[in-house]
Amino acid sequence: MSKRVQCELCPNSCVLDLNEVSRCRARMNKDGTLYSLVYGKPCAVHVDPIEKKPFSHFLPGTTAFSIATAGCVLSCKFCQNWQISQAKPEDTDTYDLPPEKVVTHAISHTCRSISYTYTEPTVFYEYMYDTAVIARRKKIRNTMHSCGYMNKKPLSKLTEYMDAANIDLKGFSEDFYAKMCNGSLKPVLDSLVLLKEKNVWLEITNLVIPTLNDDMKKIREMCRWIVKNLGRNVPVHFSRFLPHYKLTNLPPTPVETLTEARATAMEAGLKFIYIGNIRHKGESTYCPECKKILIERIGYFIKRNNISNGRCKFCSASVPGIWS
Amino acid sequence: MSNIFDIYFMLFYIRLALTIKNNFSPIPFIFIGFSSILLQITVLRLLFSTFSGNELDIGITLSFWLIYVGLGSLFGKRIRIRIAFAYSFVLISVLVFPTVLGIKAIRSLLSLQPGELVPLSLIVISTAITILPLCLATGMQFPLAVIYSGEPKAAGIIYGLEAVGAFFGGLLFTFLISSRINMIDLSLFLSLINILAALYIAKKKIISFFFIFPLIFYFVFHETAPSMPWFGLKVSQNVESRYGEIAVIEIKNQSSIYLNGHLLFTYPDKPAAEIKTHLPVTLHPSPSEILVIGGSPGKIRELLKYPVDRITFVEIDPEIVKVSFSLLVDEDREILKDKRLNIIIEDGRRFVKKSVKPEYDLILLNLPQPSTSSINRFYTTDFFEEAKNALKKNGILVLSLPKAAGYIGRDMQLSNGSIYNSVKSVFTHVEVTSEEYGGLFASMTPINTIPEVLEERFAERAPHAEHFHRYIFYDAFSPINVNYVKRRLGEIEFLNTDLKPSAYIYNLLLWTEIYGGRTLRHLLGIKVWHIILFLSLVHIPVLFLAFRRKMRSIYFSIITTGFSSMSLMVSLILAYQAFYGYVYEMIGLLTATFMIGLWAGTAITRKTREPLKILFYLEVSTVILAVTSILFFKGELFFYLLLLFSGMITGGQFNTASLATGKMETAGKIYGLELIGSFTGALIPSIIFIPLFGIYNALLFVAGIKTFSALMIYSSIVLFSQPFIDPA
Repeated sequence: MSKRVQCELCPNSCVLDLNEVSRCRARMNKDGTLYSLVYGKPCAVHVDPIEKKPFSHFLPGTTAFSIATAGCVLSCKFCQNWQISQAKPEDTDTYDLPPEKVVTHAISHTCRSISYTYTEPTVFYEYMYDTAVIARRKKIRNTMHSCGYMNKKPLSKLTEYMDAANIDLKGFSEDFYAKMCNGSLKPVLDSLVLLKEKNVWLEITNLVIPTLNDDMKKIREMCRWIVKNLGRNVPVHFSRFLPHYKLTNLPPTPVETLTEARATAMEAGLKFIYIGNIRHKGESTYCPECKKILIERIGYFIKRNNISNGRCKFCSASVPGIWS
Repeated sequence: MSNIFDIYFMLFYIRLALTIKNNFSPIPFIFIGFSSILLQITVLRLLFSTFSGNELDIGITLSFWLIYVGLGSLFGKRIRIRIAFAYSFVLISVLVFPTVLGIKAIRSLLSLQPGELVPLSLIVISTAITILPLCLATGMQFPLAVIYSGEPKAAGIIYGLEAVGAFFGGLLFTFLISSRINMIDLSLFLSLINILAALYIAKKKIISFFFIFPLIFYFVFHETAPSMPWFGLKVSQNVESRYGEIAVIEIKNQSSIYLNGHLLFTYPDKPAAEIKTHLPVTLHPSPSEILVIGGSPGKIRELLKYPVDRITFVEIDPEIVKVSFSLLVDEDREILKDKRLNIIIEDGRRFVKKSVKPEYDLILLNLPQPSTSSINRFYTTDFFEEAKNALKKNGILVLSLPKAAGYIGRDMQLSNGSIYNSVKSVFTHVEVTSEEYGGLFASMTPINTIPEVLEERFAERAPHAEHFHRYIFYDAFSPINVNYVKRRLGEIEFLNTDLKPSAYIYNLLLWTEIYGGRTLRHLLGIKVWHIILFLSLVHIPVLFLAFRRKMRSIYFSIITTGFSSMSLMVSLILAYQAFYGYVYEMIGLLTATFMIGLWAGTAITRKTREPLKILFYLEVSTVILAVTSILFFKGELFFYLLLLFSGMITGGQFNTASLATGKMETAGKIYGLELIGSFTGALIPSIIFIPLFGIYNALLFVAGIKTFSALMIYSSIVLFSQPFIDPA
């Protein structure tokens, strides 16, 4: 009997021979069984403001207990976390933190949520899932920042426990995904639709990289797709590229490009558009009805919050999101 | 770019020149040297900026250059047609532009994005391919020249003449061409004069037809060539400076300044300028004298928003200053009129060393990561000591480390940690930001990083800032993250010093890790006993092969002479630029001193009757020089003397070795052996010996090798003064 296994977690669908490690470096075929190499072994553990994930419509002003293990299903040339995402688990220095402990730590640090973030939580799916189940029981919310590169079945299962997801929509062409990330766009779009269907609170991040995905025509096309498939209420974060990893010699995104992207998204009909990785008035939330400032943010800090019971204090318009 | 390598080729040419008398019609042969040194500099510079180079790239290019030139000369030996010599110039002329444009096109051919790093494997492959034809043609010229001259014994003379040409080519570049003529214009010039040379030799008018090739290339490509590596991005300025190629890339209303393909800074980039200035300035209770080393005019503008007495801006490259100030947007132009701003064109290290009294409240280092030995000088304990002396009692030194998000990987830990540890060994108080900000602050008095205090201070001073906000202090100095960084970096114990510049090798590791390469990491595992074992293993066969055998002893001595003279040169120049700063002309002068030494060494030993004995004494002198030179590092003048002696000894060794062989035909062999020796002597010390074991140990290795070589010579002259048997 052949002892090859196929991993069904993500669209990479690695077929692994004995002792072979998956493309994400986090899974291995040991004697015909697929094992996670990172379960309970995060290398990044922090208490972060939820705004850092970034979430703008999810428990603003709270902190998230954030964990990540080594490995990633993609290999983006602009990764800011390449030191863990592209590393092998054995080349990283890890903590010993089983799911129960993650939840206990989250509670002791008075975090309202746990965030599976930094690298790609898909690679530590089992660890994330088990932690999420315990967290739900203890009334701690679960959030993830992911590239959305996960197969339908595991993602559906996860949505039962996942309260919110911020998904990277890195570009809006297959070509971009192929060239820059060694992946493809279609599965990401499918995941976005699925998360929406399953009522997971969804936000989208688009890292705008000069010359690579800063074409306004493409950005418009992307925003229209979002409006059509996910609705106008999905917050979109245009994030500023800073030179990283293989693109250390590419200039940072001009502020002008980000404001243009924001204007383009507004034109396309999106209601909540943010500018990230930079201190800018585009970090704040504005009421789509009365246009007044709802949540004034500076970086990860909340200066004012004019939302009460999910409504605008000024015009009582309902603001989508998870506020309590 | 490491000018050690620039002059390296000139050096061995000149050595040969000095050993040989000249009574030949010289022009074409001088021209070969002249043209090839300029071509080599052109190719090196172009490749260097294509790959946003570091020390390793130069080594790679030079290796291929040497191999190809060697192959070319083997091939050239087989062509026994006299006129072929003339056509070799035409061939070179025709190949110049395709080579240059080939290099310019590498990035787009490899479909690399603008600003994307090039993996080591692709650097090796593309270098190997692009320079192949030109190098082969260059290599062919030497044997063709010998055939052309009609007498095989002219080889030595031709070597010499080439060397003279190379020397002048190098001089011309150092003092005239660099910073004035761009590489495309220089290529045209070289192509055209090569055809002129062909015309001069062959005296056939038909050759002038070939003028058309370079001219066509030039007119078609001279405007587009600068933007070729940038994939059609807008290159708004392209300037050649002594320190490399400066390019300005425009995206929207933002310009990015590159030196040798390496992004220096972007202007205007208010978010970056604000965070890099307001954060450190707020750390100081009353900043009034600020020293800024390198960086963008945007940062100066931010600093001038404070009521400071003076801002001293030091930058080594006048062209960078010119270019960056030419970009100033209207609202920033006023900084040029501000009397508080004092711009100084000088090496920052030299400037800091010279400031004798504590004058500064803040020293801001805006420099790239230490990926070359030259930048590494700003990250050593010795520099930190100098900075400490230039700072007032509560002054703060500010530097940036590569940033991370969430987790600091092992290579970054090593690279940043060695710098952190070096700073800590000098300053009593060192603070860091969370890893996303990459800030490092050092002082002799405690630095208050309590966010509330900083917030209040910033609010009081209230400089106008668009993107910087006082809440950033809470993020940058969040205790959990700061402690993480301190703990992680604190685990590293290495020190980065002038005499043992280790941080740049760690930085190279970080660079190779980006492409998953772990091979360089094995370098770190090398221990002193490995080197000793390796040297012993190499020397045992030499002992059997060369003991009591004169010719072999001499050949071995020549290899080690090449190795030791280059090692000494590299060590001395590294030490000099660390202690006394980098001055372009000064490094030229140091090299010239070495060459005068070479000449003196050959002149003195020219008429010697017992060359082998003298060779032995010179070998012993090398050992003494290698062991004792470090005692003289504390005086600038001593460096000139050391290089003079080193040159004299080397020149003497070369001459006596040639004389001792007693045959003229061995010149070619000696040429080759010396080449191998000097090349390894330039490469191994700078990437292994010096960063891992320090200059002193590197010199001890040299002394060890030379002791052995001296013993071999001794064995063939004194111990056994019987007639030698030459097995070769």
